[in-house]
Amino acid sequence: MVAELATRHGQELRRFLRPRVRNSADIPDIIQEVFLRLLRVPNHETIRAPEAYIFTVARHVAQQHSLKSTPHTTSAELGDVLSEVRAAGDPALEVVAQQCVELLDRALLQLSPKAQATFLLHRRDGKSIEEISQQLGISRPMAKKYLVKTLVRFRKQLKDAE
Amino acid sequence: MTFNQQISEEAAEWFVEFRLGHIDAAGRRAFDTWIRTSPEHLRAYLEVAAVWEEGSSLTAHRGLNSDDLIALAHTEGNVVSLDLVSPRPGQRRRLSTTRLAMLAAGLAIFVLGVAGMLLWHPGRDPVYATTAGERRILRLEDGSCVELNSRSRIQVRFSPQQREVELLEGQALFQVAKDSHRPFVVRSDELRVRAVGTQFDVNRKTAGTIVTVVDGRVALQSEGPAAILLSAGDQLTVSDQTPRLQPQHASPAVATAWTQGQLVLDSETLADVAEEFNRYSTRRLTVQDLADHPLRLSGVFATDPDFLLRYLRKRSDITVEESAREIRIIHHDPK
Repeated sequence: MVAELATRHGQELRRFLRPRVRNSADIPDIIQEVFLRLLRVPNHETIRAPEAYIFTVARHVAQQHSLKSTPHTTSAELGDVLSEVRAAGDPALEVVAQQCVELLDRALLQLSPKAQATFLLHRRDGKSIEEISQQLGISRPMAKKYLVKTLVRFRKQLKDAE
Repeated sequence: MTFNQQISEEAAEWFVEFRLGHIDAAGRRAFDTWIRTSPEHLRAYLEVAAVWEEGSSLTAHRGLNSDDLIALAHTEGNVVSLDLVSPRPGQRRRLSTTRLAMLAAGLAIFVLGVAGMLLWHPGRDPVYATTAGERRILRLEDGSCVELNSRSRIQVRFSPQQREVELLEGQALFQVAKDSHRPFVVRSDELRVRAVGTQFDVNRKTAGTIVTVVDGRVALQSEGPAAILLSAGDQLTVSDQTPRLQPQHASPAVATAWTQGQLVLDSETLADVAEEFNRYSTRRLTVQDLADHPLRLSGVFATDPDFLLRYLRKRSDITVEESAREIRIIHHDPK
């Protein structure tokens, strides 16, 4: 259930955490706000599901920020067709999203073949970590380490692009 | 904003732990303490969560299925088998025969997978091609990656002095592995694009070739001896009609939108639009613009021609006539 929660919130969040999306200057404000709200709540309430808690708060704060900023519009006459093409529907955001995917693709290709395979088999092909470690002939902790390494590399790539 | 390796690692470790493991009360308490330590921890964690989400939309290795990926991972084992050939003195490593067999099988699958994409021309260098509506990522022997757009063809000629790829038709995005001793050269007709470790897009159209640099620098040479240097964000169209070559600034994201199955049109005539979409269409698109003011289209479209046609049919000034072999698009003055 927690995994599901993370996915749902993650989809909301990733729009705000991409480099150069909207005003990336907003992001420190959003983080600060989430952090302050977290500190206001005593930890015996958050430790039951700390991750779900921060995702929920972050999502609320991000939504409030997006309401404040003016909505994006480009090439409006194609809007109806575009929304059929892509559920997200905002072409300007989608092009930025492409930039982000490109950056991450590039970062992925710089990792070792095993790390690349581990990440894609898990995230893209939906294989469990047990299946992957068996099929690649690596230990379970090693497979986890590859996932961690990939995430760190990705975050660095996005930071470098900022 | 500086990147903190240690915080990133901690964030990623926690995040993966939450995805894969069962975290007990003590673990959750430790995490809660960690996340409350600093906004930087919180930020790292949320950003890691965001890139994790992004992971399912990655396009690198899109051409490889799970089995290919597993085979790719096993190529890393190559190093081990070389070790076996020349053991270091005083240290003998033994690999079980089953493990060796597995490695060999893995390599075989990988090689077969790649060979399947090849169209062999006897006695010639390999040609890679895609059909309409197909996109494919190729990894060349030097580690460079080529993403081939729909209905595109390249020929790969590698020698000890030079890595040459000829774009025979269509469009490709090149991500070049660094090797300063062996320049990487892409040819399109008379044009030569030379790079050392960079990423650029080459689009061969009827009217000329468009080069867009995504990352790094390339040197461009066409007929004359003088080379033109392009850096990231530069775009140059080379055709017989343009005697003077003037680089323009262009968005790499727009030029490479096709890698995401999208086309960004910026005030393009119907004829241009048809040429773009013909690359993705099994039936040929033809156009006739009969109106007093020719139509120009802007916007982001899916490369699948069906979406374009659906949009065009909604317009009162467009008629679409379909036959088994072609699709005629006629623009006329609104009635």
